[in-house]
Amino acid sequence: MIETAKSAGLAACTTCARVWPHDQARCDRCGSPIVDRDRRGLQPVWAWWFAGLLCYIPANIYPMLRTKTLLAYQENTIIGGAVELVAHGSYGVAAIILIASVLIPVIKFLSIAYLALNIRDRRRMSQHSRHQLYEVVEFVGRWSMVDVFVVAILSSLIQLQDVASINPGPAAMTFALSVIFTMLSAQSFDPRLIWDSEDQA
Amino acid sequence: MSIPEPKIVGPKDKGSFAYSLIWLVPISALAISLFVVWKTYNDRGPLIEIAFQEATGIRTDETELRYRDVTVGQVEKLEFGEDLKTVIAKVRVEKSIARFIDADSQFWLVRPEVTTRGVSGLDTVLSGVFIEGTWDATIAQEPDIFTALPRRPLALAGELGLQFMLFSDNGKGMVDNAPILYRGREIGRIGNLRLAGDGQSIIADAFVPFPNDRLITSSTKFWDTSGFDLSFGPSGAKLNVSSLASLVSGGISFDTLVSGGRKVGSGAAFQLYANEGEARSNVFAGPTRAGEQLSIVFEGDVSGLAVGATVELRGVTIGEVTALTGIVDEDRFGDQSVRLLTTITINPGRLGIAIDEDVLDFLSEQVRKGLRAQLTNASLLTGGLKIVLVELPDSPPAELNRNADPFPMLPSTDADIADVSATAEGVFERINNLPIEDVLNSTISMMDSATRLLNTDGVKEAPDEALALLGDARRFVGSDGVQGLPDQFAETMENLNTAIGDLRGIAATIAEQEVIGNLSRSVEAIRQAADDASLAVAGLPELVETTSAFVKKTSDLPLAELADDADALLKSIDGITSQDSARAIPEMLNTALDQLSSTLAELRDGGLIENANKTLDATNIAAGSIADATTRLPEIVARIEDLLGQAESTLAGLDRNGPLTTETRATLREIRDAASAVNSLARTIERRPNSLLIGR
Repeated sequence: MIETAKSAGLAACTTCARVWPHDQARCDRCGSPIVDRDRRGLQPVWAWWFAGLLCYIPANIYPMLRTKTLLAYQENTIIGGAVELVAHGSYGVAAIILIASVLIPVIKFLSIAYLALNIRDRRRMSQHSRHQLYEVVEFVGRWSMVDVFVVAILSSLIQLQDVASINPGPAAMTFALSVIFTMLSAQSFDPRLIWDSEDQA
Repeated sequence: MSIPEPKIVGPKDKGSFAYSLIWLVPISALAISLFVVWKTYNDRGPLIEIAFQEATGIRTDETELRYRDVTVGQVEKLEFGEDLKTVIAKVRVEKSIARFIDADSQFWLVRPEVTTRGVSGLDTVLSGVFIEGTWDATIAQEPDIFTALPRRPLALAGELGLQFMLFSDNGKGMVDNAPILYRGREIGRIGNLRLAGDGQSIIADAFVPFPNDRLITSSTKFWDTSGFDLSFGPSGAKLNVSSLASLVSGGISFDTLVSGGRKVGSGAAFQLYANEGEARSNVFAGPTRAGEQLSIVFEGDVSGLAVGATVELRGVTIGEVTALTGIVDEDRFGDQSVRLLTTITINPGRLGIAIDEDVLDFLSEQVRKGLRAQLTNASLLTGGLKIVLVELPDSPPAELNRNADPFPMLPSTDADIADVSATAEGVFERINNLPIEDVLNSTISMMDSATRLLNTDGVKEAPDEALALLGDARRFVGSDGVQGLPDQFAETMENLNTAIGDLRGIAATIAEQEVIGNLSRSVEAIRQAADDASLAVAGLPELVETTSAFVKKTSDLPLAELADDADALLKSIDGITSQDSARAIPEMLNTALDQLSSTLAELRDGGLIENANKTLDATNIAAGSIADATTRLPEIVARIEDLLGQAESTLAGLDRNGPLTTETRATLREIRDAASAVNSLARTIERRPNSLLIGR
């Protein structure tokens, strides 16, 4: 039995982690409002999660990069680009792109969904493990932006008019949105809910 | 230990089941996505299918469809046709333009092309090939699949202009994309060269865009200007190069050589002549098109018929023989003998058949009415044959066999050669029967007689004598006497001139001798004397004496001698002219007139005529002077008479019977006599010059 703040009649500031009596309205240390358990619960998580997923679909269908050189015009989707890199033998770069743009977002979606769905189920995974998973998801989410940064940097660097130019495709925008939405989704997940299940059990 | 119930703040108070506003984010995202999907689908144009022979350079999702160089579509998919003979490109076309793509749309692939006419499609080197399409602004049903053209069509859909065909036997000068030149300017192009269905000529499509299409009428002639034309003529060598481009790649020029051509519609066909001269010589050939080929089988011997022999209808050449070959067809003719299969080409334009009418229909109808092909002599001299389409309404019925191989079969009738040769034979027979031998014999004997006659001495000498005669004549003309004639003649005329001069001097003397003045003066004196007499009778005797002296003086004037002189002069002139030598001149002139022509020229040059003219002028003037003088003589007489009248009246005032009176009367009578003498002189002079001038 773990002694939680809630069971102790306390509530932690979500900003600076200082615990206050749960009737405290505002954190005296940092000024943030003290919110105990959000009444809305997992709604924001799911809302952002769906928005992120919606954006992730076109991000993979539409081209991420539009490369125009003197002789050719090329459009690459995320996976198409990675496949092409593999075909050219750049396995490393292909792996980075695949991990950052495909693997991490997919894992994120799955993890958040898993955490949100099994918030009260501790049989499959201990609360501690789930909290660690949450931490990892939150930490790693921002790295998905690697692909977006690559596109942004390339498009701003390579603009040689007719000779060669790289422009972001519509997928770049939706992918960035997807990443942002999943990060927001992860952030709106209140990890304290993981531990709340202890009480009800 | 009591656990205080945590105090829940915030939304908990708003209700037990509150939806977070955050749900708006995924909902709006979904809405936007759905809207984008719907819009994309809605804006997506139709997919058209274009069949290509080969998809050179076409790439999926890359190759564009362009209309007037604006991208209006993109190839989405490439696949093979069902029989693997074509490549079908599925092109997504923009919705806004797709509705114009209908059955008359044309598509072709644009790729870089380097030809003698230049480089085209250079932009596709970098960007890759693209499909170009053309269609007009009408909206019509879209077909399932389009077939791409191998190259750009001559006329884009909806382009105004005249599309027509050119055909030529050898295709010389016909090159795809060759220019049509008019006065050196390119106004159109030809293309789509192909062999005619019968394999006899080469056909090309030609297009001349508006507004130059009005230059082409039914009487327009086209000729090939490719290469250069070197000709030698009276003005030297002539090199004719139309343009460098057409020198390399061919070119076609045209001109409407006669006026009055009708406007031609699309699809008209024109013959392409090898050069301008040929085109000009076919000015009246009418608008032509590929000839209609027909076969004719002739029975019997047709030696003399050759390829190129004419085919005539009522004397008008409407075609020619294009091939001759034997044929053995037991099924058709019932035996195994060889027949002559003649292939002729009929020019429908020469028949006056409209371009769009079927020649075979026309001919079928004519054959039913009795039109038959007949061999006949083209020329009696060379023995060549020609084919004549004759109308024989009584001939056994026959049909134009349109299914015959290789060409429709025109029925023939018996040749018309035998009659002609029979006639020729008859002519020759008659010539043969002519008594040529006799005629020749007679001619020979006549020639012999002539020879004999000519060989006699007299005839032989005749030319010599004639020569001698001519020599004599020449000698006569050249003799001093004849040569001197002109001089003598001139001398005579000179004498005549002098005589006339003398005559003129005499006349002048008459005019100048102051006879008139003297007379006037004496008359004045008489009048004075009369006046005096009226005053003093005593002075009268002197007056009378003076008067009588005057009258005497007057009568002493050498007028009579003058008249004699003139007479003598005229006589001497007469004598000169009546001399024998002078009289002989005309005869001599007459006898030698022809030979003297040169001499006469000399005479003219020697100024003889001028002399004669001058002389005659002088004579004329002299005669005029004489006439002048004579006209004044009667005046003198009148005045004398007047004077006498006065004197008489004066005397009448005096004593009628006095001695003075009688004397004075006598004086006056004398004066009157003198006056009548003068008068007679004047008449004589008046008569003489006339006789001198008028005759001898």
